Amino acid sequence: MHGVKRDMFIGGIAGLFAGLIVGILVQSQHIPMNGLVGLGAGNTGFLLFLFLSTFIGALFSGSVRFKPGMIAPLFSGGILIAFIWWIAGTLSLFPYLNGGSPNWTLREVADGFPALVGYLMFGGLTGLGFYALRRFFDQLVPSTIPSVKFIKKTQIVIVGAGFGGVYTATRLEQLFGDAPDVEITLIGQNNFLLFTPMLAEVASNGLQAQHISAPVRAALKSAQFIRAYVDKIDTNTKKVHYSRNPFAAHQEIGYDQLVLAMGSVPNFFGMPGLQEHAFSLKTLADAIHLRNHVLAMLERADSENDPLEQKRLLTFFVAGGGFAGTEMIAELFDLVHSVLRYYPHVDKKQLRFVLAHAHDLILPEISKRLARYAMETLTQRGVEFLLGKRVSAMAPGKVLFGDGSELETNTPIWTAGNQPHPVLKDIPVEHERSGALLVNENLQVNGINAIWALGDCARIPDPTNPGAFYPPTAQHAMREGRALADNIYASMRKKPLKPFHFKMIGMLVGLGHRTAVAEIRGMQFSGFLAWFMWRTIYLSKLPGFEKKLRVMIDWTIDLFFPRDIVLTEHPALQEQATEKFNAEASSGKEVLNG
Amino acid sequence: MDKHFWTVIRRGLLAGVLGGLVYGAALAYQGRLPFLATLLGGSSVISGISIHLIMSALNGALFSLLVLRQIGQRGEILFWGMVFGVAIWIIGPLTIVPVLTGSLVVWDISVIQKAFPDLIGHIWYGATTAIALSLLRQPRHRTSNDLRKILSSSLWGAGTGLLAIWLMHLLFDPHFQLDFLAVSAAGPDSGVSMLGLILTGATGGLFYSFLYRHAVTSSGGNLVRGMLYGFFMWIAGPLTLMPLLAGYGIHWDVELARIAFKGLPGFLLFGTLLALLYQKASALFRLLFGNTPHELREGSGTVGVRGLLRGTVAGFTGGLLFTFFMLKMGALPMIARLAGGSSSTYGLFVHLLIAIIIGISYSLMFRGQSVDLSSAMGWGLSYGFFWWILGGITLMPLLLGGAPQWGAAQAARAFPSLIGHLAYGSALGIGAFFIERRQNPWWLNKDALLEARTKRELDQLQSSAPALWTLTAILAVLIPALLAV
Repeated sequence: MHGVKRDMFIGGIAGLFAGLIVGILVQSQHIPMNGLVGLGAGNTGFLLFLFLSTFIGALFSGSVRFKPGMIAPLFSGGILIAFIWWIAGTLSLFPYLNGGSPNWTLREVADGFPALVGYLMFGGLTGLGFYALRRFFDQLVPSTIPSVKFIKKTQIVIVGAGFGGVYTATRLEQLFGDAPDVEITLIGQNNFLLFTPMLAEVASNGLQAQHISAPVRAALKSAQFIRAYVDKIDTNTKKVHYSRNPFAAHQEIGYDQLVLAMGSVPNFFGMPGLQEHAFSLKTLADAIHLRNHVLAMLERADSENDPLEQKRLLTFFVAGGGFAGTEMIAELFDLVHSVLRYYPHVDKKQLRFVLAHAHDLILPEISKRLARYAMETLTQRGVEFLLGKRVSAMAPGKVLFGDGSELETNTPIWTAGNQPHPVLKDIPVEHERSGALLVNENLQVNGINAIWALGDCARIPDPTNPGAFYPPTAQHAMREGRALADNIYASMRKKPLKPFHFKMIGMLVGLGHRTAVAEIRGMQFSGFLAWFMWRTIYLSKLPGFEKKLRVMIDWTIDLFFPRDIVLTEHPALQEQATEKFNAEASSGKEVLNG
Repeated sequence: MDKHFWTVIRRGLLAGVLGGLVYGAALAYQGRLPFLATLLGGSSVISGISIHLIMSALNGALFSLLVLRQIGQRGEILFWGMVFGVAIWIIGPLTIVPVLTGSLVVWDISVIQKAFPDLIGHIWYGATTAIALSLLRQPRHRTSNDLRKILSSSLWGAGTGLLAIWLMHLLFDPHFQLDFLAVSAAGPDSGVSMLGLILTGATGGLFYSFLYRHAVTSSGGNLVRGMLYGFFMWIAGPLTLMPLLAGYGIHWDVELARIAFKGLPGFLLFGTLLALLYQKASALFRLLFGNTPHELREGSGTVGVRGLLRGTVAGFTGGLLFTFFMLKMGALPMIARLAGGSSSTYGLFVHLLIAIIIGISYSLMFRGQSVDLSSAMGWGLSYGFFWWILGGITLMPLLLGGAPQWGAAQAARAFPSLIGHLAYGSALGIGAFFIERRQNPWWLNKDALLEARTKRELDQLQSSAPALWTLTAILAVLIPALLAV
């Protein structure tokens, strides 16, 4: 017996002794026993009082902390708990059990005063007795509870600090509480949880970058967080290798349970020039970079005299008509039109917003009716759709299509393909064609023990649609995280695992200009109502009250003021300056030579 | 036995004798020293004072051992001393003395009331022994810088006391509540009253700064300390010094205490206001003129929102518990009148709203103070008591269009509400504790968290917190002893 149970046992004995002393004193001095306990009289009252004394003693010692030398707090605490018992038990509960009202009037309390003094004495004695007995027991039978530092800990390592990873970690914290035998470690490339549904708005300058990212450390209570890049996962030695930065030495951490939530990275399918020239939209850095680039293009276009070059600068191209691509083109349209008045030399007719999609209808994830609505709305605004076209290559200032056509643009954005994190390829398990890990319905990676996976990097079977997998969305990742944590807890505590099942709530796609489309539990919404739903639902899902408040402020400001065009420094501007310098230098050289 | 042990005993003996001299002077004035001599077969004043001083010295040594690990400023030990005084009153005059004199141990209200002078005497003994002990324990070498700090904190304390009494004057004097706070039996002459107010404020603040050179950081901790400091001031003022200065002598009998009861809520509120102002003014001063970087763990916005949510849940839970008894007592229609209604349903709504507001204030003021269930109950009970004084017998009558119900007879009528507030406070404290413990500081890992929690527990146990909770309970017990006729 150790810990709280041991203390409660000792406290019970102390309470019994204190009860005996006070009880004998009360009996010998003919103080009415029924007043003391509220119920019973004579020997019944005496026995009842002893029982209560033992109970209160155990309760008291279980609720206080014992520290050597701290006699006064225990003495004082004993008096306090006895006083509270006098209010709760003698004055309230027992009269109620006897069928009456609480004895709270002055007369009733005054009548019960002997009981109060008895209880105060009992409480003080219990506190002192508990201290003395605990010291005695400690010398007689030292506590068997081992020091926290020497407990063998089960290491649960979660790789990836996106929705899946963070929700797994927080749920595990809830389940294991302060259990000293479990250590949870979360490794992520960024120290923030990015709310990806609002990423396009950051790129379009509608929201501040920090406002859609919640610090991971703030979300965790007791789990350890390591900001690092994972280089390798060794399933033989059960170790995760990582480095804090590209130049730092490699470090490693052992695991007993491993959760892979590494998300995805853009997939350029090996097409030439995409890696070098395309903008992607997966990270906060991507969004900030894109926002600065678009503003830099406007700055350059405003001072550009060559109409062809100006046209290229003012053509914004998105490849991929899924959620990210459609929201991106709509947001870019809003951003550019919101700030256009600052650029008087930009010819509005030169502006082009082009979206290329491999199929004949964008947004394959939602119903055709809504997809058509989205396309028509954007077309009416001036967005061009190149349907059935596939990008085949990119070159500086140019996008090449599979059918041989070209598009002149300095802003090509790639949203047409993702792939799981490349590190996962080296794990000797079954992978899907894209490289994603195949897991069973309990989220365990097929063919290997103690490794779990979720989110974009896993293919999770959908039991309601055999052969199909759950889509890689944030709402799925959150639920998968919780379910996975429950299953880890169950497996460690030798309980049955529960298969993951989730019916998608709905889909929301922002189309800019206070318009959106939404499909929730089969119901379809479009226009302003859908836009309002988009904002309220995503705002409610954004982690942290402070972030919600900040995003609300950003949105409110956006309603009344044009978007910010502050551009401190950007490679695109430096590039222009270098070009100009080179041009002037060469013309100077020519003059000199001439 | 090591040298340190004997140093502790020696200090305790000396402090006990000093405390005993103060109480002994009162006993001599009351002519009760010969009675003490009879306990051991004597009858003279000399043997009486000898027995008294020997007992005082022994009790002082015991107290010194009990508070061996209690550290902190003088005020912290003072509250322990007061609790110790009450404890030896229960063990001594109420229990051992009847046994020694061959009479029955009777703890009923009439005996308690009869032993009231002994209670006040023992509290004085405990308080003076504690202050003497804290002075004996502190380092003896002082630099000129130390003296400058003492002077500035004394001025700061006196200034804060004057500000607190001025605010009390603004709030309560229109209702003639401060008469007894300010003047003794000399009469409610306005000139004397104003002088009394100024003296009360200045000396109260000055002595508080003597007890606490640095304000305790927690608002809740300050609130409870201030309230109990007000209790000490009530004993020192209307029960002791004022009658003495007015030529009535020191009697400490229950009739005098009953008359002086009207000043008790005022003193409790004054003490609370003083302690909170002392803390807030010090914090403001540090913020404006201080140059010490402090580690801001969480922003006030985060703390505020979290406190709001926790307090709402805990306050509602405590309020529900209280509702059960309010229904039994039929008090809801009266609560409804606070907001212009009359029905029980409306009263229930208003009552729960008040419970939530108090819950939120508790959650914000006592953030991080409850380290275990016992401390949760202690802080909650103390806050419940405070709200009986502020809400039950002060604000509620004011909001209902009357004056604060500070008189003994009026407080006696509001007594069931005191028990309700104590029950509510305890439930609130427990509820807030269970909600708060789910939120650990995120910047600590599990081992560090355990260490931090252990340190927090130790810090609290070493402070006067357990004594404060017990003293609040004692104060609550004292009220029926005073009021019951």
